[in-house]
Amino acid sequence: MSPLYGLLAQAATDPAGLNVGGLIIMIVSVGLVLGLNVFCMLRILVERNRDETAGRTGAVDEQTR
Amino acid sequence: MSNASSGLPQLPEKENWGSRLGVVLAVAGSAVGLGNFLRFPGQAVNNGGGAFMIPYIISFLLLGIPIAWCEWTMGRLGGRFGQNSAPGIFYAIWRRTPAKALGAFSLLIPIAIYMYYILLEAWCLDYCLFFIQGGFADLFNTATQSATGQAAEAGAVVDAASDHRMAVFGSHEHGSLFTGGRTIWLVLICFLVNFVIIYQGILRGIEKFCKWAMPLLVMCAVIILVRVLTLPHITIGLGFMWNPQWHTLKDPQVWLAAAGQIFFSLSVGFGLILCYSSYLRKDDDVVLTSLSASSTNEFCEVILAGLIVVPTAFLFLGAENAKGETFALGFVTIPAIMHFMPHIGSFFGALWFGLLFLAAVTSSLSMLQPAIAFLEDGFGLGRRASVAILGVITAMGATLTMVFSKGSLAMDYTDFWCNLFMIVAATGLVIMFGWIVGAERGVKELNRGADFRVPRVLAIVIRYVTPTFLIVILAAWCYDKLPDRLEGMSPEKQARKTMDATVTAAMGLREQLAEILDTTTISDDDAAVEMAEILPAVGDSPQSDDLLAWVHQTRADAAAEALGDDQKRQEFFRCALIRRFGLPPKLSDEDNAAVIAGILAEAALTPRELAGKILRHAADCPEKPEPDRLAAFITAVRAEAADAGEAAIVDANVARFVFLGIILFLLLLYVTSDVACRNRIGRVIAQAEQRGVDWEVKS
Repeated sequence: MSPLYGLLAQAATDPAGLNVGGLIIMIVSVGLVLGLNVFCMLRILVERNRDETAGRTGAVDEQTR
Repeated sequence: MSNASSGLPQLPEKENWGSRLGVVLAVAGSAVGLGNFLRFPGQAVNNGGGAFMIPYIISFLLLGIPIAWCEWTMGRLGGRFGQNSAPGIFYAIWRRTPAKALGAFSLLIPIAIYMYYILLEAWCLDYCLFFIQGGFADLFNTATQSATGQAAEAGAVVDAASDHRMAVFGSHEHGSLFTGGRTIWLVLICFLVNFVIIYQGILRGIEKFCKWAMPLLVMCAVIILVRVLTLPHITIGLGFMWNPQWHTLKDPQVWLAAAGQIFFSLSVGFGLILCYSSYLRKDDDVVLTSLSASSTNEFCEVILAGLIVVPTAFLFLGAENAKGETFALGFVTIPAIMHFMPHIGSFFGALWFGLLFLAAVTSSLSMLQPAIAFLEDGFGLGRRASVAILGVITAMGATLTMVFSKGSLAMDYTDFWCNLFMIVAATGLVIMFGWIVGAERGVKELNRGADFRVPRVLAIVIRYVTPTFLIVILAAWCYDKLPDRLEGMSPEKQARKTMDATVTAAMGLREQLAEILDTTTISDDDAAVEMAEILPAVGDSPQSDDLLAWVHQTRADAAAEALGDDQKRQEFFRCALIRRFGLPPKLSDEDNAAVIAGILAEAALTPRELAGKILRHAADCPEKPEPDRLAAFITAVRAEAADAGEAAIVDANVARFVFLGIILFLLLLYVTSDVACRNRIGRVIAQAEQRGVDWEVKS
């Protein structure tokens, strides 16, 4: 372990440690982003499984031509 | 029934995405880049820490998501008309000149960004390889050999990383990237990688690459994140990044910074998503797909970058380095952090720059595809010809960026104008969607084939809120940055500014030297070495032995006179410096300004005459410099200022050259867009309409 970081951090003048406000903001931000991403990705994966079950392939849709 | 037998005109063969996950990863790959991993942490920590997240999330909801939905919808719509590039898509929606102009803007931005982005890609690859080769370990070990104490060690590592960055970036001199180093070869490799992938097309090239590159990128980042979160005392670093400074929410700059970060990070509004979404089928969902791509981008930005970069930078290197600008944070601070990272830091360094390289490649692919699509759609060129033409154009631009590498000048100016044009293009796109297409009809089109429907209130947001938000950002951006940039393009103003700065720095020399003399924690030897480094500006640099003896004697004299009083001791050193080096005595601010102006403007006066003038200004100073030494000092400062002025003129001309180049390129793209819209694009759209594809244009 590098001996540097602990001492440097202690020497810093900024407030040490994560306070309650910071912890809440961090958890809420991470939670929101992660929740949204997981929700979207799961929906897409569920849809894909459903499509595969229905036999849809990735072929070009003739209607779009 | 076949198209031929139906008697309907045949539309060009249309390429489609292979899977929905593929398009999500490709668009997310386009958005996830260095801006996520390097720019976001710096913006957050410099704009209120955790408090920054409030304007950031609001901007995401009111700016990022609506613009993305507009772009996805318009892209998919354009695809139905057989169009995959911004000029064709906008023309399909609105057959007016502004649509073609907006198309040219949207075409220009990705190509121009690519011309410097390829260098960033090459630098990430360079840093990754340098970590793998153990180059950073050697570099930092050599740098810290003579450093004593932990702070000195950290400082030496940061200095070495900074010097390495300057060398790799070619920041010292224009053209230095061509005189040695491997950057040029790495740029060629990156070119090759990008164009080989893009040549393969949407399905076999971009989608296939992004489908393994994006998960790999996230996996690398998660490995680093786990290591970071298991570091002892990491909560100190997390606190530095996330502890909210609520008072910053009253500062409009913080809100603008958050809106700007969302806007640039999501890569919305300037044609990338427009192009990618045009390869969707007409009933493919865009609501959830867009949201998935945006949220993946946010995942990389907020979770991966937000928890890794600044907390570790603060933990290992302190607040100053953790608050650095984007490039300093990315290419100076992070290599230094990885050096101090306990256990196999080089492995994590290579992993980090490897993931940045992947992020850069996925982004650069999205910058090439719109132009390829334009050449194919607009002129009926094959992929090989389109790739070759675009290769030549981007190679020329990248070469110029590499030639004018001093201070990353060409890159910096290209980036500035592209950012400005991005906001203009996004504003145009949203206005077109909200007012030309019609927000309510646009939202109906958005909801076509959607997994879940967006509420109608979005129409109001798109029509009023988002354009207002963008116009405010545009105005603030222009107010804040444009004057400096315009001044940067004026050779006269730049020369004067630089010469003033050089002279002011020289006039501050005495304070620097006095400070070194006064520092009791460094030895006479170290003081002499430090002084010797900055003394060449005096014009008659002494021999080191002579200087050492003088430092020793002066300090001894100060001690002998028992000058415990800080102010008196500093006065003693000041006078000693005047006696020894003939530096000008401290004048009042007004007199200082007069002296600076005199040195610059009164070229008719000889240095000796000017020295006399300065001495008359300094009538109240107890110690006066020797006129000859002062004259020598003035000569040296004038020479240095003249050199700096000449360099500034070159730089200002480069900045002008970049601006004119971009404007000419924009005009060229407008003309080619116009020609294409009047000919092939117009014909294909007409054929699509004959086949029943419709989009009522609001007159």
